[in-house]
Amino acid sequence: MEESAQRRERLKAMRMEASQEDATFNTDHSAVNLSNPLIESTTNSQITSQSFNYYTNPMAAYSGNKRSQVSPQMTQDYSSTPQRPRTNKTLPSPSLQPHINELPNPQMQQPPGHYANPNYSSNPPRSSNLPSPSWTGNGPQSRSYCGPGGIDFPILKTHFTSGSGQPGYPSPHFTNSPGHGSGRGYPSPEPNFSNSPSHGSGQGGYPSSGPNQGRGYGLGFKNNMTSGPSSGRGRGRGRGRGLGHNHLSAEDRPDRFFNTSMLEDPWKFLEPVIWKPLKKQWNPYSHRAKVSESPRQSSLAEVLAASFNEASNNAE
Amino acid sequence: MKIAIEGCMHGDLDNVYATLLHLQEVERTKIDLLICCGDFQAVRNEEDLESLSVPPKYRSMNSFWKYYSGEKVAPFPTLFIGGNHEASNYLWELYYGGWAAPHIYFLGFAGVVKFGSIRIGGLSGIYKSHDYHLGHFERPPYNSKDIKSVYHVREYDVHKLMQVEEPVDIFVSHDWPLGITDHGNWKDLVRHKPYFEEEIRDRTLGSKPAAELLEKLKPPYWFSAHLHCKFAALVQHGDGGPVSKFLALDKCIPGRNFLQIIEVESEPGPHEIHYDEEWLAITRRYNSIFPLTMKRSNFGGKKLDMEDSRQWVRSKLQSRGTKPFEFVGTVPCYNSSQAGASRSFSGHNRNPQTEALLQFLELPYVLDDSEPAESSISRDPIGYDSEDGGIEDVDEIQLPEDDDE
Repeated sequence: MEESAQRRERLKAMRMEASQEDATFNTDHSAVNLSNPLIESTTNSQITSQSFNYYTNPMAAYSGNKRSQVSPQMTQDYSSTPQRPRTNKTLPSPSLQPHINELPNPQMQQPPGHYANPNYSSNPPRSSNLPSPSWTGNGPQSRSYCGPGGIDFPILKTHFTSGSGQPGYPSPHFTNSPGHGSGRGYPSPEPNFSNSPSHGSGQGGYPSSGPNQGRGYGLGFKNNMTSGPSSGRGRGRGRGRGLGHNHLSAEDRPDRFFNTSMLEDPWKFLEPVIWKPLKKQWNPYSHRAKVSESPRQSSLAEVLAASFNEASNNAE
Repeated sequence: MKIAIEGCMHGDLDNVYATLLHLQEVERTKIDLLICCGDFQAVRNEEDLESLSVPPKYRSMNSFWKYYSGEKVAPFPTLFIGGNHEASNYLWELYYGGWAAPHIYFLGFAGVVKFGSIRIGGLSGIYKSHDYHLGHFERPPYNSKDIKSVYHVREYDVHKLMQVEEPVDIFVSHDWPLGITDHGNWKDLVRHKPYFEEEIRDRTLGSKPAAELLEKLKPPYWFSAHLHCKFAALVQHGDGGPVSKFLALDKCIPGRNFLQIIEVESEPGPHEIHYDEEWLAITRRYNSIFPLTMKRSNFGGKKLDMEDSRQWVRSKLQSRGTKPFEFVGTVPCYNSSQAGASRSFSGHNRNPQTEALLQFLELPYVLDDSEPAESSISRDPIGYDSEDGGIEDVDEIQLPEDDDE
């Protein structure tokens, strides 16, 4: 019991000694404590004016190990060229060439919007005027051709014309097609087809977000021109249903195939870009070498770092 | 004149025509012409499937044979070029162009025709550098290599098109001109087709000869297919120069952008497909150097005087007229009741349309010529193999792989 009482006394003495040392340490080192910038703005600004920490360093985002940069050992000289993982692969820029604002008048005009035929109502469909096969036998040599299998193959005249007032032009109803007779009540075509994939049209903008397709295999190539997590070159294996064509027939459901975008001007949101002559521009086999030797483009972080340095130099 | 443009047909004529007829009805308009940008698959019977470069499980008759037989009639004049999935034996019969079926005209391996006052040119096939300088050496029945090379674009055909001096209004190629992605919203394209990114970055996406033709011909419209997506671009040929409107389209699947209607100024109808005088003159002038073997040919500096040939053709057309020779069937048509019956390939057929045209131009028939001695000349195996791993395989081997997209 005596030993126990002595041990308690000894531990108590040690705790008191330790608490006295803590008080002394905190007092001696309070000047170098990291200050809270939200509370001690004045003090903090004096500190940061003398150094350069992670939060004012745009290049820190490009460092592979952020934790090492928040350590007090970070003593980089930001007047030097920032370091970051480098890639020799760059995407071509579509805006390298000058844009022309006005379309020269091409030889043919592209009218905007829908293509309502003013003559349509005055020329109702002639559903019975489909050109019917007429096996007449007046071919190029005025004879019937005997196929290699010994089967007489008739010759079909191919007088097929179109245009207003031209007799015999096919009507909107394909009367020869089984199951597609006139009077069928097709649903109205919907501009936004329900199961239409999102690609194709949509020329009007360059959305900067959206995941990548999530298929294919990545090349480890990350670029700053698309916002997806990475770019991949996919073969798309295993995605098909096994047969090439859907079983849905446009003769039964043409509305599933038709889209009003088929009538819209696909170039309306584009501006012409001047064509570079092939001899100057295209040499695929030497281009790869050129790419690797070409100076890399400045990233946003590099631009910000350069701006910071420039501002610092001006301040001095 | 309203012209419908379609991307890859893949033998799906029924659905494309039905969609266009529906479009005419709901939009109360009238389509004057349908242009298809390749992979037409003019398969007449099961024998033709042997010349179709797709995996056997995808060898399907689809619907062209109905129009070939006369069971159905194309509701619109239809003009098409070849792609990389074709009944190549049949297209070879019609190398110079001709009616593949009533009202369905094949533009030829290369060709220019007139439809009304509109001049339409086209180049069939896809570009592969390792076969570009070779002649047309492939003959049906095709072996496993020839069935894939027969549709590769050849310099000879491009060189003929480069001789065209008069304005072409519309040009059609199956694969896209190289570099065309710089002239449209390529970011949007890459977002939906991310596997194109490397080709775009390396500037290898597309056909170099098609780009050369775009640069030379400067047509107001250029249409393509092949990559199964819609992509628009505007190309300006120099400061203040003319603009080419480029559009690539998808294949015929519900909800996909496989059709586009454009309106072009033209003279009042009636409109029909006609021979083009300048193109026939070029065809006649260059037929003497038609390369028919594997031997590499060099046409780079070969520019023949055209004036005499032009006058000669003009005189002939004035006396005969410019309408193409009539459609003639050359093989029995598919019979669905006898599907799967044993068949033997009958080899090359001399198509009477082609014979008639060559007779008209006073040219010899050479499409069944072969020179066995040339077969010892081999292609560069390194180049052939290395390039077959390119983007072409995406569509060639896995034709329907993105049907669900």
